[in-house]
Amino acid sequence: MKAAPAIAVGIALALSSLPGQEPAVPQAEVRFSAIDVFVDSEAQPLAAYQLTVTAPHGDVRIVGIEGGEHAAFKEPPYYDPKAMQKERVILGAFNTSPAEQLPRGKTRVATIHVQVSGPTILNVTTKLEAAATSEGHSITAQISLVERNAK
Amino acid sequence: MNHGDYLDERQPEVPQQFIDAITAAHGQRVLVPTEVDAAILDKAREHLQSVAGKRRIIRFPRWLAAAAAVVLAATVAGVWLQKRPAPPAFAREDLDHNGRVDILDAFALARKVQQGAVSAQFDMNGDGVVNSRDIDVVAAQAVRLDGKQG
Repeated sequence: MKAAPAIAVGIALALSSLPGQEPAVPQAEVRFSAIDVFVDSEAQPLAAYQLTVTAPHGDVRIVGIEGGEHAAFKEPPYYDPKAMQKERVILGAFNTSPAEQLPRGKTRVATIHVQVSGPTILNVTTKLEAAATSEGHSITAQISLVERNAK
Repeated sequence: MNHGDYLDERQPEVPQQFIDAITAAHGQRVLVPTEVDAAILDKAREHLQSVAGKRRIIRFPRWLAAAAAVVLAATVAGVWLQKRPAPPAFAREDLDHNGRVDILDAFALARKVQQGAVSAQFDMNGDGVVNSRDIDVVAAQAVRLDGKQG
């Protein structure tokens, strides 16, 4: 029966075109990342800071917060525990040490660990709310966020 | 119109003879004797003095006047105070009174604790002492997400 192979091929083609047999859609990529938070007080000794970090698009969830690099801000900053698994957090920290024991210039004050779903580009904004010297005088400072090991 | 017409209109029943006499007398000068004038004046004075003697003079006691003045002043002051804008009420944690609680308030309290310059007003958690726990209360308030918009 020469017609048998042709029939088998036809059945195979028909089965491949049936609904419900579509190829699996790849799920949204989920990854974890760390965001370093820097404060640059220039020549002033940084004794206190408060800032807000926000992920506006809802594809970022905060999962952890740790302290900075300088001894004065080594401890994790104050934050609301409710910020965990949310897209916004307010960080605040201070140190009452003398000015000579405080960081000047650009220093990493905290690191935020996040869970990212969706696009690979991390979209996070920040706003400085307060900063002060060891004498309690308010100062202006620059803040920046850097994703660690960003590709 | 003459006087006769006037009288006729007002009192038509007055006899014509009387009207003529009055009309004639009107054109003459009437002299009042000095004695009569003085007597009328005396009677008038007597009458006025008797009326003045019957008039009551109400005199309020001084304390009542003072009390009224106090009440009036209090009323005016109350109205004035109501119209003035109320002084801003600051949260207890807002140590620098800038209208919001932030980490600088916690920092200010930490410096006070470090310097030993604390008083009962800084006992934020009400445990009777002012220490790092009170600083934590202020710091927690500063970073709290509730009610704050980024």
